[in-house]
Amino acid sequence: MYVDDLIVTREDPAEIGEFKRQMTNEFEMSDLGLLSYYLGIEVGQYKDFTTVKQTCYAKKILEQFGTVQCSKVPYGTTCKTA
Amino acid sequence: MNDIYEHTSVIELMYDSDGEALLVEMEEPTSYQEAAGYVEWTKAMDKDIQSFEKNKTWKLCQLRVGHRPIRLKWVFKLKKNSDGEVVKHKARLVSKGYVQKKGVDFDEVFAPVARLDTVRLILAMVANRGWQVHHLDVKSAFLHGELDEEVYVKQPEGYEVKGKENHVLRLSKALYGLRQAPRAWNLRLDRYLKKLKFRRCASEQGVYIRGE
Repeated sequence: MYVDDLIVTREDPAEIGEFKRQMTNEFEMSDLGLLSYYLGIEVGQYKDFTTVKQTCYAKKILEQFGTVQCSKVPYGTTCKTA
Repeated sequence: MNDIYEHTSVIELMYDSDGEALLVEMEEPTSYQEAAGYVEWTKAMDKDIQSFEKNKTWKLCQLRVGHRPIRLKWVFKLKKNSDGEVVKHKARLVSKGYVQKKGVDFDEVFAPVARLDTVRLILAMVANRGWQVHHLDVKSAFLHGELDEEVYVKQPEGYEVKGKENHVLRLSKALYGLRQAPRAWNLRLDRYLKKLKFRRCASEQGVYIRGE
């Protein structure tokens, strides 16, 4: 949970539904369904895999510092174990 | 061209009571006085006041000696859709919490929030197990927080009770802007989650677990 924004997970989707009902009984809630965006992280939930990216957040930072037009340079992101 | 669009404010055609067309620049008022003349803003304020009454946020009473009432302020916001059209007039009553003194008007303000690493960790675990993650949002969460301290606020502008103008409101629930609002909300949520048999993670207080 992040103040008033919360994510919930469970193996059995029916139990997620039960939790939502319990919360709605006590507070006024919006059910945003399957998670797609949380704290600047863009989440994609697919049948066999999940994706996380922060493209929007990165763009916002570039805009904030006026560096959107700067040329791109490849940067190593591959992990190496020693 | 885009630049011109972006720097021109929205002009709306309004008709006054004589049926004459007036060109009015639609902006967000910065005070009650500015907003009071407009039906849309008055309606928005009425709606906000009604929600406080429904929520039993306050009680009209006389100020107890030794206490100082916090002043309130109306904040106005126009909600626009992606085309820039006004879709909603929103009025929110906030308290000027910055005048509150620690130990007098409030004690603790800390409220835990989940760390980004925790969110990533949960997403990784869930992806590994093939579970679903759902997203929920509590509407006007801070207004659910119950107050332990004795907090008084002045009556909101435009909604003073006739004949009792010098009375104040004793708050039982938090308002936006109140220093203890985040904590009061968190305590309320914590109590409810524990009632639902959730356990709070000791090292990461923004995480709760139910069952095994």
